[in-house]
Amino acid sequence: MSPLDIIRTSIYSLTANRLRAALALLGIVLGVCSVITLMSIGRGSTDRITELIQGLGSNLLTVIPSGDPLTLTDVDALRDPLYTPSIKAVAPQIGTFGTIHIDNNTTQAAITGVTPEFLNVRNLEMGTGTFIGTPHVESLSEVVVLGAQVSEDLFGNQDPTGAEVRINGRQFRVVGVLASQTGFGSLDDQALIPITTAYYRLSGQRTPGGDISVDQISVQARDVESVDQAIEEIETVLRLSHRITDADDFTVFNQQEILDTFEETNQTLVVFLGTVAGISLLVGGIGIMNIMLVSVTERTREIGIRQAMGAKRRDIVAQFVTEAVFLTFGGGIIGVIAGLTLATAIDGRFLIGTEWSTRVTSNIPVIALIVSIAVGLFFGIYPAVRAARLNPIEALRYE
Amino acid sequence: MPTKPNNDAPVIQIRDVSKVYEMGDGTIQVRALDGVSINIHDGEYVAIIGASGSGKSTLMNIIGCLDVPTSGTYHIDGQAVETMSNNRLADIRSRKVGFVFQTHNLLPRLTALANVELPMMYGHWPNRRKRAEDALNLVNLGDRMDHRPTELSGGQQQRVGIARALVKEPSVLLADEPTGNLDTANTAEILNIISDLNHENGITVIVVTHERDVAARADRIITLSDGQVISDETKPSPLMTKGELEGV
Ligand SMILES: Nc1ncnc2c1ncn2[C@@H]1O[C@H](COP(=O)(O)OP(=O)(O)OP(=O)(O)O)[C@@H](O)[C@H]1O
Ligand SMILES: [Mg+2]
Repeated sequence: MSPLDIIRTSIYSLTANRLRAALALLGIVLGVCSVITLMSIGRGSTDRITELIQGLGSNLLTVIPSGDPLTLTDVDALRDPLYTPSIKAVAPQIGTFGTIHIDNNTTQAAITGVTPEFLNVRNLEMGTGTFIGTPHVESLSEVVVLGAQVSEDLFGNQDPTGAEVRINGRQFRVVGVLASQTGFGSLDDQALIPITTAYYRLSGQRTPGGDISVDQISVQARDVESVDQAIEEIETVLRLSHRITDADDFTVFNQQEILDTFEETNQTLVVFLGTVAGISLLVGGIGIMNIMLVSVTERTREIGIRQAMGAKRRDIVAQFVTEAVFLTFGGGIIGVIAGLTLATAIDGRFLIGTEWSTRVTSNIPVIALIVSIAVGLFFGIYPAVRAARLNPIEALRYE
Repeated sequence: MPTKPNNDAPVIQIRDVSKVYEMGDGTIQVRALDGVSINIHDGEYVAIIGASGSGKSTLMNIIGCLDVPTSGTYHIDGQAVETMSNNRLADIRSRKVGFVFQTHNLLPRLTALANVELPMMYGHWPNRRKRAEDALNLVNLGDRMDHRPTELSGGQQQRVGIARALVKEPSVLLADEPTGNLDTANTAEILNIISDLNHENGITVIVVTHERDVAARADRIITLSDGQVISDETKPSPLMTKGELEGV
């Protein structure tokens, strides 16, 4: 039996019972559709997380205290190029909460005390005005740079540069507004003031030695290659200055590590979603097997006649497997179209309280189609072999 | 090709063949064939007659390689069927023998033409359509080619079955009551076709029948009763007239 004859015979048999073929197809359509959609959602969310974390700034390391506080003395030590040649910039920060208001407009914001390096280390851009300068830090100036959201809450669309605001009752002059950021750790709802002002004017705590303690130090490595070297330098400097002999009293976070952790978590999610979708495809495959088994029983006489006409076992197997593969492949194509449509439709939409982002890569549909063919082969073989094993004369007598 | 029985090795050699059907849990046994031995040579025209249930169809199915005997041996072209692979058996069904069934066994969803093309599809024949049309024309169904079996009369269906068996020019034609549903005119026509195939193309023909005049066309008449051969007669001379034959 030539391939063309096999295909023709299979199509002919399938069209004889259209409703049944369509129902068998539906299981595969749903399976493939959910595989495509869920995989696209998985890829989309991986992309988004990567984008968010990369928005934090490149080559960024974060040092936080995990025992004794970190101080400005530590910051100065880290800035010494003799000991830390791999470090480009160091930006300490102090965080506190505060109420900002003008006239009768009030908003709550995180107030962060920073130094001028903060701008570059955290990869920030100014919307309007200027950032906090070294003189501001040295003279404990009461100046503030507003996050985009804070600015909008207080001033609407007006440019607040030069305006006066009150933070926890103290008068501050707005020198600039940050450009709005989307991303992980966005500063839109924060207000930045000189670190010294934050320490002496807003927060009350003092270190025993009279030094300024900081909540976090952001460190920018020279480049991606020097990140590991930079981590070693930070650890060496801080261990020396803290006179550490055993456990460190600080922790260094690597942005890449955070990214890896997130991606790993997300990968797990993608695999999980893929498995769920795969199971629905499996169920579809079992549906195909069921239909094919019924079909073999129903067509016992037909099989007997074909055998009497000289059909070999392999001809019968080929016919029934081809029918099953046609079903799953057809279902696969419809499923791919439905899945791509669905994935595109929900991309960037707010549904069930989340913003969905999907990414369709060209290999997803290809894999889905190959898998659906494989499902047809796998679940079609058994019914086909059952058909081919029939004894011709018994098959011919079957009523 | 020889048109008469000869002394060469027989095409079909059946030795002590029995077919036992077990029913229930093996408590009831039906001996459809009981120690049958027959040799049929290339080019013979044989009729098998016998009462209903005497085992004629069972014997034909075994000869056509559709069924296997419970005991005994069957050689076709000198080869033991018992030792043949499934593929080899399929090959014999596809090329060597043409089978006309008592119940027509046409595929209900295929047209007459497609039904006749079917065996050629499995035998990888060229020019299938043309050959199928010729075969249908031969059985006078040229104007019914695109009809499905349900759109044909019983006799027409039977003729499609005959066309399907003839189309692959088998060297052995097995016909189980080929004229059972046909009127006198059609019966005569079909019998003429079969005789021509036997005389001119040297095809070995084995026909099962109830009708005396159908059996009369054959050179040899085998009678079955209760699964046993009770008589096996070869006509004394091919030159015998019909009148003389009736006197035998
Ligand atoms: N599959 C089967 N199971 C059990 N018994 C069977 C089976 N097939 C045939 N038989 C029995 O074998 C015997 C011979 O049947 P067969 O069909 O060969 O008869 P036949 O000579 O062709 O009869 P008819 O002229 O009516 O067609 C019958 O008694 C029948 O009941
Ligand atoms: Mg019979």
